[in-house]
Amino acid sequence: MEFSCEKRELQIGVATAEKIVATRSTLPILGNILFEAGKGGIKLSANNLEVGMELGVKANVNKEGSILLPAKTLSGIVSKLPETKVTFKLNENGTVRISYDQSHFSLHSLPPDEFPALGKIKDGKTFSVDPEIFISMVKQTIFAVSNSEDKYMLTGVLMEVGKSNIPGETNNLRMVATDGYRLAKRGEKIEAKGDPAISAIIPAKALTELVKILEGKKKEELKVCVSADQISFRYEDIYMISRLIQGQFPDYKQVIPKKSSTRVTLDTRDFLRSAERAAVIASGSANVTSFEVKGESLHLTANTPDVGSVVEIIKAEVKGPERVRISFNIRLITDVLGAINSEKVMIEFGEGLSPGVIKPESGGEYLYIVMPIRTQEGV
Amino acid sequence: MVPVKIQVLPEDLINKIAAGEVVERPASVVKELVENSLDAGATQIIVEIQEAGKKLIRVSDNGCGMSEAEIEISLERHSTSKIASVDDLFNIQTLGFRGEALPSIASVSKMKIERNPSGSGVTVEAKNLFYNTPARKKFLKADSTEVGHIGEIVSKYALAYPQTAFRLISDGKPLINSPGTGKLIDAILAVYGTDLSRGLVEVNNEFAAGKVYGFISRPTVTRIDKNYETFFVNRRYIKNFLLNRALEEAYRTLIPSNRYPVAVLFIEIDPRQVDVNVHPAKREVKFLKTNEVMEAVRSAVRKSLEVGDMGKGREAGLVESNKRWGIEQPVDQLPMTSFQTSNPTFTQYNNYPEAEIEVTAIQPLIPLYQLKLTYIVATDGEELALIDQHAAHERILYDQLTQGARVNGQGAQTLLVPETIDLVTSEAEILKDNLEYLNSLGFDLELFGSNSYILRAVPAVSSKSPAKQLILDIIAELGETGKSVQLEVKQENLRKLVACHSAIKAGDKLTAQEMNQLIRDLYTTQNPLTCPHGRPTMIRLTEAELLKRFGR
Repeated sequence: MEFSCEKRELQIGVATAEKIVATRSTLPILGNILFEAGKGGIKLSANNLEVGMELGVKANVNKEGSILLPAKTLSGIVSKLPETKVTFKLNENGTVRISYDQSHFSLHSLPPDEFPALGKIKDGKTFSVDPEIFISMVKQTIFAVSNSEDKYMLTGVLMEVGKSNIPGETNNLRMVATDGYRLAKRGEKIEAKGDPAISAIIPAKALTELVKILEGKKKEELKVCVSADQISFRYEDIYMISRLIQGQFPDYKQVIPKKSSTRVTLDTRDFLRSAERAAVIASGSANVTSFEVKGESLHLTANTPDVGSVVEIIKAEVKGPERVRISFNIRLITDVLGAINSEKVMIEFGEGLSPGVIKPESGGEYLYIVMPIRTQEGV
Repeated sequence: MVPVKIQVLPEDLINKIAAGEVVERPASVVKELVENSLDAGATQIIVEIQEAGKKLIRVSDNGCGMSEAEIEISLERHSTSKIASVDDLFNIQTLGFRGEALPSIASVSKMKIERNPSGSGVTVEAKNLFYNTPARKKFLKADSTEVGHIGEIVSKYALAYPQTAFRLISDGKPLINSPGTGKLIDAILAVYGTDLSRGLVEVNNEFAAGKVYGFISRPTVTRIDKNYETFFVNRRYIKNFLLNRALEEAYRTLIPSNRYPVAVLFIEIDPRQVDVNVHPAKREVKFLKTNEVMEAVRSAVRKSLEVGDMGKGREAGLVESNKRWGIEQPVDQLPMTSFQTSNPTFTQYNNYPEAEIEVTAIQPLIPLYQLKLTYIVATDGEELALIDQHAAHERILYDQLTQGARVNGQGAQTLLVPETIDLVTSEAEILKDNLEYLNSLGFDLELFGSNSYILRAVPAVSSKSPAKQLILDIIAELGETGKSVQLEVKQENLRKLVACHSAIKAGDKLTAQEMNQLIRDLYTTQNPLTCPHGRPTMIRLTEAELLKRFGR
């Protein structure tokens, strides 16, 4: 095997593949990147058995072949190379000679035979989506997933394709995430040829990597393919495949409140800053923060014995009865406010201990449902 | 019947001595009577108890019954219909065989055996258990514990005999109701509830000397202790730690090392290959070829885990998640002596004068690095501190719980979707016993059917934990640590448990912001230097210590 390519191209490829490489795997071979030199260029693959990825790098191939190189060492070398042409050549003794300018490295390589091949989905359902939209949908939901392996199916984001059966919604692509205490849901209308019906729970880890890889990319559509147990993404010559989480995702439609009694509209940034300040005190008492609607404002109150208390007053537009007094975990509120891009945000309260609902005033179908905290002093 | 040849002691005294071995507690009576019913071929067994069996235990069946003459003779020691010769002893096909049960029970209770009016089966009643052995009576535990033991016995037989319908009624309330359909999964459903049953996969594998079958949990369903690992050898419920080990080995790398699978496994083996006569209550067995049996269990379980619906990717995912785990063994269960001798820093902390702690506590520590996803390395510019993230968070949550209990009650974080929690009888009794206090801490648990609860809220401090697992883990640990009679101690222990199970674990990744917050919160607590169990939350290296160590 022998090829040469530009350092810049190689560095981007190696850095991307390295994100998938298993860092502490029981299978040492997974710490490697597979290089396959073919006619059109070279292909880099990484696989941690949960997520697998391959991508193309432009190169002049003199001799076809494939090898495995240790990801960590390689990325350390490549990132420090001068901006020049780099040549890889496999020697008969199994070492790879990486040469540039007058200098060279000799790296031990492994034969590629035992590297687990990336799966390809046969007979999956497919659709295409603008990567920017897809990323924003992931970002607005992924923070609500559960981190606990005990609730396995909640460690992923539910992705649904198909007409929404919630009245008033026009979307046909939805993402939903919940940890049992709050739920984030984002809908978007896309062009989906053939109206595929898809419902899949994508592991949060895979989505996190995908977002990192796709960030800033918008030239082409992202192609998504889903089977019963796997999902794949293709963007230009980047291909990623992940297993899906098997299990029953909770019926989210059931928890969306049908009506609200009071709606409060606030400036998103003001609200976020006030909430962050209240959180400093609230953290000493399980993040419990009281929300009160008074006149044309929302009051956030928190206190921790022996530390102190805080009252934050935020100007608001109030519709409906003013008599709202309910507590929330303030961290669950700062989480969502950080993910909302709209200038104004609405928070809706219902009767008694019904959940709070947060929505952006504009910018797509987004819904965040947060369960209140019942306190002794009543609500 | 084997006649008694030498009779030095009066018969009733011998029976009482034997009763000491056979009848430890109400549950032992239930066990003996249920076994008799099963040996009589019953397809329906009703166990009724009052006051945890202390007042009344009544077992009625529809088995082959007994004649009046048999009833009479059954009360004599070593009378049995189940073996006749020594050869039979090595080919035991029945549950009982020593002929000790009925006379033993009769000697410590007011016992009555009646043939059922319908003509089939008998009803055996044991009233006022231990009325004549006050010492034994004194050692009985709280009613809820004894009911728990009885529930466990009946559950085990319901599992072992799916074709027999079992009912357990405690003070008029039905606790267990197995349908007797002959299908093991139906019996498991009756005992463990639908939720757990859904997470099981079937095992069925033959080996040279027999067969291993039953149900085991998928690797995503785990428990905090071995209580859900149940083994039957030739349908007899037994304990054998080698079987537990074989089972756990099959799950190795699939589940975190300190979690345990759920299993209901049956080993069918030539009766000549096992010796059941090693324990008076027949709870233990010896295998002729132990290794062969262990290997049979291991490979049967492995095989089922490999098929099922878990692809290779899933397995890998679990291996990875394994590393993120790390619930430590609760410290109060570790031998304290080894702690103090092997950990000099710990004792040193105990020797710190109060005042000095106060002074150091004011200094703000700045987190530098999260070591091994377990310790926070921090400094205040003067000293180096290593903070155990779990112990520190445990202290914070414990203080918040205690403060809440004292001041204005606990915040209860409500759940998006209420969870149903199916428990086995012994667990339900533990929960019942602690329900009120748990609810005052912020849980919202409500009885829903005999052994099921609805969970609507968890303490506000616990809102990072999955609600259901939290309560299951707490119940499991309550069952293990036993109970304190003193209310205050009991409540304190509960707060410790809630704090421990809600706290971040070793292996949880923290951001710089989270580490900062943790340190800040730690210093608002009453005693930032130890966790509620008394372990240190941090180890500090002073400049003097550094100088000494570097020999400067």
